[in-house]
Amino acid sequence: MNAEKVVFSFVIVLALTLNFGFFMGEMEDPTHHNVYELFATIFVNFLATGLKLGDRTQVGAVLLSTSLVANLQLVAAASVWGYVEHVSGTGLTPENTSMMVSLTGGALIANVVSVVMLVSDTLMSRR
Amino acid sequence: MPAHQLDRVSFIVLRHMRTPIIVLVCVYAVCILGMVLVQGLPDAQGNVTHMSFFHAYYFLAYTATTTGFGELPGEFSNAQRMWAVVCLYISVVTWLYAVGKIIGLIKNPHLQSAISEARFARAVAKKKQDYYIVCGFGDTGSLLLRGLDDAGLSTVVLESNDERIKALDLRDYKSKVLGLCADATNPRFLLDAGIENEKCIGVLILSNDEHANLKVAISARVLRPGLKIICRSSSSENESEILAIGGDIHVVDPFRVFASYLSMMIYNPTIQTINEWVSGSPGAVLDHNICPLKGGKWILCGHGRMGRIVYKKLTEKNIDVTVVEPLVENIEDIAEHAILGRGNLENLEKAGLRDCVGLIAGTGDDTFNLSMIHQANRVNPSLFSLVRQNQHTNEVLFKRANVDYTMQPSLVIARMVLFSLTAPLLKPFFSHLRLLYENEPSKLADITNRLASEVGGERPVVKTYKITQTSARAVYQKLFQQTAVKLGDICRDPAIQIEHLNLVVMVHKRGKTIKVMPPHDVELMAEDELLVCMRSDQKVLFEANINNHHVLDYLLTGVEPARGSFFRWLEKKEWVY
Repeated sequence: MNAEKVVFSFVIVLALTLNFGFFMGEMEDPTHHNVYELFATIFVNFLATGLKLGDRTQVGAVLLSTSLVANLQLVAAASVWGYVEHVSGTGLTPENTSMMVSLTGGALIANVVSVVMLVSDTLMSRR
Repeated sequence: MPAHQLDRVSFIVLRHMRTPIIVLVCVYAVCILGMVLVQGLPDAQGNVTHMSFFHAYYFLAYTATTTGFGELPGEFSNAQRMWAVVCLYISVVTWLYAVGKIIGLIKNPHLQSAISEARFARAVAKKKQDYYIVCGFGDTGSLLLRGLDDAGLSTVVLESNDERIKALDLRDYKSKVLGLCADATNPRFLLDAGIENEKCIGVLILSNDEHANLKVAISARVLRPGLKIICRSSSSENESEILAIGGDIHVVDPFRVFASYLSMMIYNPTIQTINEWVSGSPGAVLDHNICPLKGGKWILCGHGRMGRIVYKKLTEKNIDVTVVEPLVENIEDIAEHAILGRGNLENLEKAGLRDCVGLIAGTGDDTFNLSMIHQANRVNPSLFSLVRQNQHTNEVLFKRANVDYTMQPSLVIARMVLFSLTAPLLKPFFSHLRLLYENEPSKLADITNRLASEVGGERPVVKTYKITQTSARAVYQKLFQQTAVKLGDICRDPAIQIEHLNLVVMVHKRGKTIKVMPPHDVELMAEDELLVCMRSDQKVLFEANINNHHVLDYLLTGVEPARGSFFRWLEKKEWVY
């Protein structure tokens, strides 16, 4: 067991769990989706991307790309939220909320792929 | 091939940027979260307010990069101000750290060399022309490159000295020559230079390092078994090892080549004059021999690796040579014909300076050579002086010095390699001349006279033409239509058909049969090769002769054929009176 592996897996799994936590709940109900949770999801996802940089293996490359997809989706979700709150001023109407939440749903899939790859890679190494 | 290189560059960048990116992400997260959590000023109803995530991010975006727009979007509470101070210090420091890392990375020599390597490999892979790889861009390399460029051949250069590669960038070549600062003994760089590419047609290994040359030759042979290799080597053991590699490989020994040039100059001045003239040396004309003397006593200064061969060749031809050499071990075997000591006036006089016809200053030191000639000329002004110039940079000095003929080893080698690439048929031409010189000297004079009267002047163009679809279109078509084309026909003047252009066909090659100075009534066949020597202004005319079928029609028949359809019809129509 080494510390790097622990931190690495921890961050990747945390990215998934936070993302799932935010995604849970009624799609159209803004009270089911907490802004702090979205913030934490974005932060942990960025952190995971940083940790995945500079890995030359094939698995490393795919892990990095799933992370980049998740980031893109989450930033899009945050931008939608920021836009409806501060620019258009309509606030979180059911349509806006469902759009924002479905974007994070996409990120969730990317994170699931990432964790599945992590687990299968660990199982393959047989150590 | 460049895929692994690009991979290497992006890997280095990402590996170095990992820590700064993680630190930045963490610092931003902490600062934004803090800004959102800290209570702001109460609103009009007295309720506690918080900054939104969007505003917190906005605040940090301009604070962390030290832009500092002030308290936006509204006035801060004192608690927010306290946190803003914390944010400012940690985020600015983090940014400085990240920027410092990026600058350090850009300046990293490993990254720079990896980037230039990747760029080089990509540019080579995109090359559309056939090209040679030149390993070693020294005096010889740069002279050769100039010649290859003039001949329209493309090259890429590998050179381990950074300064020389920078010099390469500043040369005014007609086409851009790609160069990489790399040690060619590392096979990876040969791969970068596209040795596995179909378009690579040869490797020219010209560095001064014997062992490195051997290694490059071997790696080139392993990487591309059929490739043409020309390798420079000055030791015979190394030479046999290089030749043992097999395949299409040629070794150029600078000392031997230079020594045979130098001695030919003395014992066989006619051939050497033709050689110099064909090579386009400045001032070389066919009207008089460069070295007009035959027989008499010569003094040779320097009996090292090169001098030894010169001495041997000259004594074989019964030319009386006295050697002046400072190292005793170099003249042990020829002690009775040698004076021990440096080439100063005293020793030269001992060697018989006053009654000799010529002096060869052939040491490896330009300063010695120049001062020797300077002193000798004062004693015996009628002396013919041949000087070896070692450094290309000393050119000016040698031009100004009162020297009858200067020879540069690097130039001689570059020329030899160049001709073996651009005009390989010159070799049988000169062997033929040497044979004539031994057996029928009068015929040699005939050839010289013919070259002088029909081409003459300075700097002729010597070029090989092959009768193919692409290089001699008109001739090829005529042959395809079963029309006989004689060698004399394509040499006619397109202005007046009965006259001939100022050119001489030196060699005609069909399959393995080589004919030197072929007569004009030779009938051409497809795939024949011709070595043509002509004045530079005649080249465009000759090329039109063999490529333009209108011109060739006229040359064959002496009649200008009708070109427009009306006149063709008029010509075909039979008039009945």
